[in-house]
Amino acid sequence: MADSDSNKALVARARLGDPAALEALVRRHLRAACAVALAVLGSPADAEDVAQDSFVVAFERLETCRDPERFAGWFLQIVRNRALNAKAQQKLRGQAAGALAEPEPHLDAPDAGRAGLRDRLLKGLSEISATQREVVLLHDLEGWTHGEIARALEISEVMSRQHLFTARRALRTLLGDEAPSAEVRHE
Amino acid sequence: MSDDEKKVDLSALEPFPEAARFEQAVSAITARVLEKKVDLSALEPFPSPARFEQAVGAIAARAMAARRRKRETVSEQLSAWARPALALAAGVALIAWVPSLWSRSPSSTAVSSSASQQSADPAATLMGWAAKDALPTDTTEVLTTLGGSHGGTAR
Repeated sequence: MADSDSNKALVARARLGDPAALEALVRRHLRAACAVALAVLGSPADAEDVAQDSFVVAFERLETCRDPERFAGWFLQIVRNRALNAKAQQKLRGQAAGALAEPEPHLDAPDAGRAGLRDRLLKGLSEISATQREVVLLHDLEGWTHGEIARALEISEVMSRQHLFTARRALRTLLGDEAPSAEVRHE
Repeated sequence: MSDDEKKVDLSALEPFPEAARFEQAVSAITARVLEKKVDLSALEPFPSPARFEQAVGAIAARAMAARRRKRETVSEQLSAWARPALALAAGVALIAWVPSLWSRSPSSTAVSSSASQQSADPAATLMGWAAKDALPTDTTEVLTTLGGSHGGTAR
């Protein structure tokens, strides 16, 4: 999130059709888009598809982004809406049952142990609220600060901390000793 | 019971003399554990940088194409609207022009020009009649020559 150009400048250049600016925006927001879509859908492959489609839609509607400085919030709302639509369509097709409980095999999983851990994490994530999932994924997976999360999700920093605390506690309770920990991050 | 078997009273070293203090410590430890990030790297969507770059390139290309397509669509719409708009404008111009053609028909132009000549120089007209020994065809012509607007009072 800390590239040299501001979102405002990149959006202005992208509106003029600058491919480099467009690519910079994709590079900056792709991982967060995947995290938000994963929080809704619970399937990494579906999440990536939705993230990709969301970029296409967002760039088609770039002129409607009224506050380019807050591009992340505007864009992640598109991602969230499209993920919710995709989930609704899956339900209609009867394919949503157990999307979180029975995640599809991940092609890039290096080994079965890692794939198993991933499945258990997905199962654990399915037990907490969507906002808690978004917060814990953006914070613990993407390394966003509470300030960045608060701005993108349009919640307060206090709420972001609260969601993270609750999500971590729930994940550790659900996963027991399996819940892996990483280094403490001081902000 | 010998002195060796008796418990030594170490209660003075009790780390949590009150239950509340104990609960506070437990909460603090729990909070510190929860401060630790949950390692979610197993959910990493792009395990390798190459995979990430590939995704960025593909999405940027798709998005760029979509933006270009949309721009083309807008220009196509404008050009599609331009033709009927021009046709409509031409129709309106024609409708406005035709009545003016009728009002400028040759006969009416001739009548109006002769009448204007007569009204412009009645003496010359009268002299013409006299020279040719011609008679005005009707009273109206005389009145017109002498000032048509007073014809009503002259009668």
